Amino acid sequence: MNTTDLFYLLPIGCSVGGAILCLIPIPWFERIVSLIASITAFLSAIYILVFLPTMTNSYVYIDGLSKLVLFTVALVYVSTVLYSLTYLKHIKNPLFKTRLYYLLLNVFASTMFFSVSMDNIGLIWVGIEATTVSSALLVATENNNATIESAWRYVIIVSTGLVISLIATTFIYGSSGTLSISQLMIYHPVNRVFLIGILLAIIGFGTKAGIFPMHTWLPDVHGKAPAPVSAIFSGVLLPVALYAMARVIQIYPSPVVTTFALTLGVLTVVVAALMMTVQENYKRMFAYSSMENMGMILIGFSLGQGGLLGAVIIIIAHGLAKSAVFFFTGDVLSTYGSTSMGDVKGLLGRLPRTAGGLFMGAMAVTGAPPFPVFIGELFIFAELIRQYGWGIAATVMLFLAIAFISVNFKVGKMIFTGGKLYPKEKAHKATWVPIVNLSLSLLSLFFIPYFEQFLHKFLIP
Amino acid sequence: MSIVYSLLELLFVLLLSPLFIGILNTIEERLESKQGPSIFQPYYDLIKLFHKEILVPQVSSPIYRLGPYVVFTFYLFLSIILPIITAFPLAFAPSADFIGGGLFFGAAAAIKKFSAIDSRSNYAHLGTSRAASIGALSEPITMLIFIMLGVLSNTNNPFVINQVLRSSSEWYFSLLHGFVTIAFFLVLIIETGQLPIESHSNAELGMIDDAIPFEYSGPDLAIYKWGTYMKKFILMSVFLNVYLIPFGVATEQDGLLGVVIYMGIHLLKLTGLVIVFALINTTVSKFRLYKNFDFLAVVFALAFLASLAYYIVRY
Amino acid sequence: MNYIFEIIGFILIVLTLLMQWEVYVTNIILLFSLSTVFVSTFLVLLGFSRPEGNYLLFVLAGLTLTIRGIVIPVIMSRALHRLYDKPWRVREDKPMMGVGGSILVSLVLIVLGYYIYQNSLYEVLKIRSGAVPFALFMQASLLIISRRHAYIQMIGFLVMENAVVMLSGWVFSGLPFVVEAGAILDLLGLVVVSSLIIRVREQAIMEEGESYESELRG
Repeated sequence: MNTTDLFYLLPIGCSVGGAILCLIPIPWFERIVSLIASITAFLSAIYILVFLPTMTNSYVYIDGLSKLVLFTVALVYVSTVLYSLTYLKHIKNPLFKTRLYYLLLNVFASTMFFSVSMDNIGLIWVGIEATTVSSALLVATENNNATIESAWRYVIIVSTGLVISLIATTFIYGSSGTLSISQLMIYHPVNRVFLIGILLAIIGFGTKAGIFPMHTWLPDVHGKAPAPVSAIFSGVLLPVALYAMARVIQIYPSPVVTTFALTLGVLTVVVAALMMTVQENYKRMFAYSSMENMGMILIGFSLGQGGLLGAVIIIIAHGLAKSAVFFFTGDVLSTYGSTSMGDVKGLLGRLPRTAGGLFMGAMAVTGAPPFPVFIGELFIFAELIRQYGWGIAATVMLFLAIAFISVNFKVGKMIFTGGKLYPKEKAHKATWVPIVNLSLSLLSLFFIPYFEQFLHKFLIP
Repeated sequence: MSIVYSLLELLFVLLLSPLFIGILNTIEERLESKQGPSIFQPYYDLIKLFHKEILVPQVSSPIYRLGPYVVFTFYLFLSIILPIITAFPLAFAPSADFIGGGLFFGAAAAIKKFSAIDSRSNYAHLGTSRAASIGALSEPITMLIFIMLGVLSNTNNPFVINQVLRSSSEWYFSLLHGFVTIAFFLVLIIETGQLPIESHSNAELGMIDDAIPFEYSGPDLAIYKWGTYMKKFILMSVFLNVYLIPFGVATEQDGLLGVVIYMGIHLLKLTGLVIVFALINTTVSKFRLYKNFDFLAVVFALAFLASLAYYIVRY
Repeated sequence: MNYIFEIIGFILIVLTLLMQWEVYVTNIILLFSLSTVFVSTFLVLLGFSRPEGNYLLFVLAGLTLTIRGIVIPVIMSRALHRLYDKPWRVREDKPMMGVGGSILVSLVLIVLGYYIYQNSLYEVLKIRSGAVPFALFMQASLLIISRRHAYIQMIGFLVMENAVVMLSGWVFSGLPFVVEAGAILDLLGLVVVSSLIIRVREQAIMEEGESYESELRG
């Protein structure tokens, strides 16, 4: 590995360095260090995105898809660190000191960078398991019973799913003799053991990504974790697990695998849309909206070609928009003190900036035009109709419409009813962060042709 | 000639079964640094009981008096069909195979319980109900153990099983044999009434088998106790001869002298087993009554795993 | 070698069955430690039977033994000692099924696992005795599902990992070393993190009971 290759590992190095430096017990030091680490990681991610070519050696596998996901991870990481700077004092009963929080956040980001850049499926598994380890305590930041219980459920359910992925990795290794993605893409082995390995890997990584039927930890965690942690979960952790699934589907693009992934994706969308209609807790509702978008991304990955482009657009746009939405809900929670939708009234009068942002964000994540999530869904539907006909596409569209209506109705009820119930308050210091995220999400609409260029080699049939 | 062997086997079981219970009690006491009774104490007890008078409850029926004698006859019969001193079937051996032997044990236990209930005594009822609930679970386990060992030789004949285990080390060291042996050892603990299932005191809290003959007296009690000693002896001999150490049992070619020599070796084997029991009795404590059923569940699981081992390994 | 694999596999199944029988948490941790000793013995014997002298397998066996067999049980018992004042009495207070019932259900699961393996994976893998780690996997999932106490769930998860190591070691002649080492280190991190979470969780359960279940529904 010569020195230019080391640049690919730069995001990992920056965040790990930030994590280690957080240990130094100087007050306020950890925030400065995290900020610097996240900004340098972001800059190196942009550098990799724009300047460095696709690269595979025996350790690292970076092509267009990885570069785009790397970029999203870095961007959401920066915004989370910026938002946490002022949010942490709103947490009433923290389990550990803020220094440990920033340490865990940096380690968490580094494991996600690690999972996205590696060439060896086994190392991707190790990276994703490491994200579980480092994020488990982050979920439990607030020290009350339900939060701890949801953190414990997260650990057990996701770890069990990852054990299934480990079995899948052994099957893949045993039947093809290698775990390297670059070699597997060239050789494309075909035998039944390999097939079973791929299917098990889809199930196992799907547990981490919140795919039906292994999604049960998702609403609990998002409902109870603090806002920046929810944002980074929905924004990038779920897409990183889906990245692993995408690689696995690309290695063995047989009809069995794609149909299986498509079925799971459609079921995820259906279940998420149905569960969204009965929610009373706005954080859980947005968690189900994340699950629905993950289902759409999985459908896109399983279709390939145009669907892949749509999926990547959704990954980038949803990552930015959903993290913005969760930041806004953090504002709402710290102002109103309750996560139940019945208690939140008159948001427009009390926190107008947050209200406007929340409204726009809710429309963005459920797929309203002109936000790029809509464009991504259009690409996916085009591919779906082309390959499977109108039946499935119409069903999925129906459930997406159900989700759209329920989310926006409830959000609208929170924002617009209540009138002048509360006097206008000063906006929180960090409300500009989600506003920036949301506008970036809108602006990424103009970059779609560049995304297509990055993913060029996947889009040719 | 085989009638002579049968008679020899009958006398062997009849005369030497109280000895081993005596050895068990003495070794237990010696391990606890006490002097303990002499090893012939059960003989003295039996002789004493034959001189005592019989008291029969007024409300009982003739079943009450017949019970111990019928059970004694069953055990006498079992002692001449099971491989206790010889490795070849004797004159009466074809009357019942392994499963038949197991069923005979079950029948004897049932008759014991009927005649005990007939005495209308509270303690007898207590012991009978407890023994019945444990027996309801342990009898099928015994059946499963006997059947599973039969798949070794595709027969149910304990003599053939003995021969197969003696000659083929593949079967002897197989998983099936290991599981079944361990399961039978645990069933032996249950059937012969050792700790941790049952202790030898007369405390009501834990009496299971000791409460059944509570009302018997005199020669009836002597015959009952003698029957119990014979049952323990037969079960231990079957365990040693068929399951654990099938080597060295006298075969047809050895003649009368060989059989007599083997009787001596068998006494040594039994003493070894009795020492193991004594060690267990002085080490573990008695289970709570309802924990016995969990113990039975584990024994059933072991016997069941034997069948699973067979299917995975052999089939 | 097939024979040794079957013996060790069945010993592991029996040990997991005994874990279902036990109700005291310290005894369950001890049984798990013992079963890890058997797994690393199997790895050592596997290493001896390979003619090319693959010493990485020995390193892996040593790593398994130290971390999964010694360090993790020690961490868990220390956490138990810190949490309760009479740690040898800690047990599963609200069992869902009772001991006898869970032993019988685990037997049913073993048979089910054997049948599922026979009918689906056997044609693919062509090795009969692969059903044993499969059955162990299903037994461990029963341990996780049927118990509420967090330590027992953790042990169930670790037994699952043991089953995967056995499966990959025998049927597929092992995973690459770096992946296995990564898995073991991940496990260590998981246990450390979990013991922190468990500590707070058990304290909360001890104080209040379960009034928060209603918040985590829907």
